[in-house]
Amino acid sequence: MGVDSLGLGHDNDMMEPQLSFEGPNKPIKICGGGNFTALLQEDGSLYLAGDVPLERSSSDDNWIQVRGLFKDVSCGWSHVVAITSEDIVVSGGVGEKGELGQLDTRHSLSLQPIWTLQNPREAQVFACFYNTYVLDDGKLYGCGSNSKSQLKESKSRAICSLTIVSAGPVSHACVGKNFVCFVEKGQARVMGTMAQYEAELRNIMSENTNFEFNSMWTSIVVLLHQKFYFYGQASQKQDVVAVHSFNEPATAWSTGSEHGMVCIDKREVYCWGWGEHGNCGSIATSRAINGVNDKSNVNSEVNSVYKVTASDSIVYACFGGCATSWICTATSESETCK
Amino acid sequence: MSTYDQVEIEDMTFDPDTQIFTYPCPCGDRFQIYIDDLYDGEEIAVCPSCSLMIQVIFEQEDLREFYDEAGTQPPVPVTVSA
Repeated sequence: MGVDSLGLGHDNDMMEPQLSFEGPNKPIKICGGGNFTALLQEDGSLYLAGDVPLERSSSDDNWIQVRGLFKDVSCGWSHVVAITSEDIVVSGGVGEKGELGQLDTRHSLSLQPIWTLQNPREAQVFACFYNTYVLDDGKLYGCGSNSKSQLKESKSRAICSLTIVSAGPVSHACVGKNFVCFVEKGQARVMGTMAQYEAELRNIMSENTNFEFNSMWTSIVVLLHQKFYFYGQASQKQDVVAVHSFNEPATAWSTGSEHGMVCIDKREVYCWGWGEHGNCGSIATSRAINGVNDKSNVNSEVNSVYKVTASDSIVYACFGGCATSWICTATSESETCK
Repeated sequence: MSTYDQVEIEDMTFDPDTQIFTYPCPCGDRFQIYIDDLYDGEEIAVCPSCSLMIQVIFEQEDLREFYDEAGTQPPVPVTVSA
């Protein structure tokens, strides 16, 4: 939609990758809120682009650097949660359902502390839609909407401070719209709208430890032994990757709001699912003038969107946002994101 | 009609000034529908920025509290005489 969440200085939807961010430090995580994007670099610097829900220090730059250094970041619909270099969990933005974790505060123009980590080494933050989760010392905490029991069994409209979701030990987690999926004592658990898939996920995970999972807004995708498994709604072809075979190994993968992306052999990136805003790339019949989306690939098959050409370049990561796709490439001299 | 998702009306946001219910769309915009359209039996909320639609789950009596909040009344049925 018409917001510069791609950090390009304009609001056109693009269906061919564009250079958005370039620098000497490697971006290690990119995540999307409703209309904005957060980018965390390996040196701890954090940048935001788009309709940023925090106070902007400058209106001129496509990417605005957030003051301070950070270890992790995640975005909900209109809020940001992050871990600072001092091991404090901070949140900011808009949180009408309590997802800021700041008690009665619903709007916060700056990042405010909400949690001091007990075990910073393996801590992570997760956010999606109207929820925030913190994985700390093997325990999972959360706040925000509990209308679908995604935080506690007894439903409630809003939980406004971090509360225990699982005493764990929790080893992995992913978060979608009104649900959270996590591994507790080696067993899959799902709370909220996707709870019906808990048994299936337990079956596939119980015999394996070498799996990865990610969430779209309304589904869970598992990568196990180089095969993708899909659980949830698939009205926009979000599940097509489950019947697709790749000839080379997946070296990075991610999910956006209703699409997925995978990098094969560090060389080629494919997207699938809902691509109405150009986020699953162009297809043979596309007429993308100057890369601008022509809406020719609305519900996408597994589609090649990027292939490295220079011999010294690789794709080291890819990330999905709200109808946005991000490809991180590196050469021996620099890192870029498209 | 194929819809992207089903959403209960209590999960939507109501703006009493515009009298519109909204709900986040995965494209970044918001699905929207007027309260009067719901009252008249329409149940599909559309996104102004993409082709996705949601089905709103509600009963007509659920709308009463929102009309009260907006300080307005439901539309009066038009009687057509022969």
